[in-house]
Amino acid sequence: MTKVETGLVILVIILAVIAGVGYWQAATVAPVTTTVTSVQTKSTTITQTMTTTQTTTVSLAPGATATVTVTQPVTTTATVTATQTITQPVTTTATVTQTVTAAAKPPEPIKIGVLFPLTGAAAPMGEGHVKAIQVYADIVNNVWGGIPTLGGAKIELVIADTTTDPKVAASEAERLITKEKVVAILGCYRSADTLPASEVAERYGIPFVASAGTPIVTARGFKYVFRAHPPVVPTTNWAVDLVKNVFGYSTAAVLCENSAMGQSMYNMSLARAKALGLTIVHSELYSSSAPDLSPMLLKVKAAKPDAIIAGSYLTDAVLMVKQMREYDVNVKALVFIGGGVPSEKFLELAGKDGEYAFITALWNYDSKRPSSIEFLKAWQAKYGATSIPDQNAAEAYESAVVLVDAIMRARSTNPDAIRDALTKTQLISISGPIEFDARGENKYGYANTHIIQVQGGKWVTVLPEEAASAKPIVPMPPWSAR
Amino acid sequence: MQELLGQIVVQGLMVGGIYALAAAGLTLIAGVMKIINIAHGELMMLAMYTTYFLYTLFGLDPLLSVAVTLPLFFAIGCFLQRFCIERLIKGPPMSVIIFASGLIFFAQNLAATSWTQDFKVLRGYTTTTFELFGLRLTSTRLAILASAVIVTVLLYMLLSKTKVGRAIRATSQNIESAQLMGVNVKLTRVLSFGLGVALAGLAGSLLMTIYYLYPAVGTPFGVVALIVVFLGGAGSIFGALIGGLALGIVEAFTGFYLALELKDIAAYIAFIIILLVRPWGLFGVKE
Repeated sequence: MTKVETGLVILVIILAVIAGVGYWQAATVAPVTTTVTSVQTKSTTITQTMTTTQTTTVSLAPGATATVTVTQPVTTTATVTATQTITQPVTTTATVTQTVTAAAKPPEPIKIGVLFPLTGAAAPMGEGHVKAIQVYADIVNNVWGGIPTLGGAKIELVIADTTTDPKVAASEAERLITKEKVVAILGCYRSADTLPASEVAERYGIPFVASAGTPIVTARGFKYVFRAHPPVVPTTNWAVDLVKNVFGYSTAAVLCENSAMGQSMYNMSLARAKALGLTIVHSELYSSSAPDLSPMLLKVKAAKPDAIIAGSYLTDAVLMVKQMREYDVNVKALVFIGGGVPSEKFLELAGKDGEYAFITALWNYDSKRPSSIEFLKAWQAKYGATSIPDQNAAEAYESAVVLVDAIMRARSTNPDAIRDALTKTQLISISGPIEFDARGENKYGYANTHIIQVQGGKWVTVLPEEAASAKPIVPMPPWSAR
Repeated sequence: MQELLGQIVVQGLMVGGIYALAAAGLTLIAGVMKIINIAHGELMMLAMYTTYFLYTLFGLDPLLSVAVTLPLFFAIGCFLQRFCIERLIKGPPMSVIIFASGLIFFAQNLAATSWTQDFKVLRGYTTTTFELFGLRLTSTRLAILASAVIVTVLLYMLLSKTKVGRAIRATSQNIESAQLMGVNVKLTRVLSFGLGVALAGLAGSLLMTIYYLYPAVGTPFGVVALIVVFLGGAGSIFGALIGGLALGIVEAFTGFYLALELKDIAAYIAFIIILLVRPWGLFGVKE
């Protein structure tokens, strides 16, 4: 054989293997299952599971009528009367053959697009979002038995990956809408990915309940984009308010990473500080992938602020506390603006160096609100008693709660009906009350912001009081005293 | 701010030490083999995972894990050269780079599927910081800087004083003449590639003490190592050290006096200008 022929043979073998695997996959798909219930006159119920076609034998009393109900996928009533005159109890055999047809399915499952980063740098956070949405989908499908106002229709999550890339986020949103025919989309954690993805949803008129921080998400005059959890405006303002009004400090340094999220936190915190009269002695933007933050931290050390207000993602936040210890940079309070730092991963990676840090968070698992306790219970039932959902999980859960609530009130899977129902949202979820203003932003964003602090190796809620389980500890001890 | 000047220089040197160490193995391969191993950063990433698992599973100190990663990655390097690169150099010149880019995606996805995308650090491993003449020094960063200097000196001695080193240099200068002089060219190439990869392993192990780990962590370090190699001059052992330290200091100064955001821009502008003025690098030999 020539080389070309060898190559062709190898190609054919590979294709054959792929085809074989595909055929095997198709062949192992479970057959449609139906349930037959035979009811005797004496009210004995016989329930059995059968495949598309099956014969079932039932014992009947004299003159009895057997009602055969095929509950899924269609309902048929067959009356079977014994043909012979029966004077005493005998056994009669009735054969019911029911061919399943595709046209008569139960209420179609409601497809919801779940678009988050599952690969790339933001994957650990995206995973938390998807897991939380799955918890809520389980509650809706298994505990409620589907959406009650839509004939028990189940929700089906169509999970897609933004790969931490805005271009992919947009194309995946388009695929979810045009190919998968989702009725709404939840996404995308990163502001940079959420902006293009929600733009696609707006263009197609598909409701998009966002889990992302930047205020731009709801500032574009879009009709189909909503956000339940507090965006970076209240969480950023809270960071400044906490330092100035709650702790009464007079100087601070503002350090933010330089992507869309960090830049909006940077501008907002500087503006808020100016409004409140908090003196900013140093402010700087940095790249969240920088392997070394010490040049910036040395400047902070020289400027001696009371507090650091930081708009960070995970790894840079960890690097920051570690290098603060290495270079003995001491402040009275270190406040991370909520949205970028996932609390539990931070705790895991920063270890003891993370102690006393604050996050102006969306939520924390120790929250005392009843709906929070419920969420924690459902999460731990699914992922194990030691698993702890972080605020990323909470924001995604809350988004799912809001969306399902709207679908339920819309009594329809029509995207416009869902959108109209979303505008009339009025519920109390795990972070607090939710009602949307004209932009699609929650009116109670500021009030729902949670202030959490690392105390004894755990995140505890210190504000608001309805949810708090501890008091804040400030000033934090210098590194030399730890 | 002037009192921090010394600290900035030290900081630049300590970061530069990482760059120099990452570049040491790469410059050896680039010099001897005249090929560019763009998967160098991914090999470092795999070494970081090795160190991470040795630490978390067996409690082995990351600095001691070098005793495992050095021979392990030497073996991996020898294997790659003997069974992959040796075959590829018979093909078109681009094929080694294409092979290495395949290796990058393979290694990153292998790491992602085997060990997830999660960020990992050595939990409970704390570095000690101490003050010396008013400068704050970190033990692990100093260890990296010292290793970079020691590796450079050892490599230099190996190349200039030993028989193997002479064979390596002869192969890098002229393959035909080296063969005529009785040098086993194939074996020499296997040894030098193995040594280069072993140094990637060393760099990865040491990097793990100060950095966090995820599947794509190698890419930025691989790029920086490439830049340092060409800044110093491909094949120049001291060039890699000086290039790495210089890059670290440029970054530290722009980070401090301008903005941390600008440090990459400044570093790469410096790199581009130096390359334009001396296309063969600071210490490279004009061919």
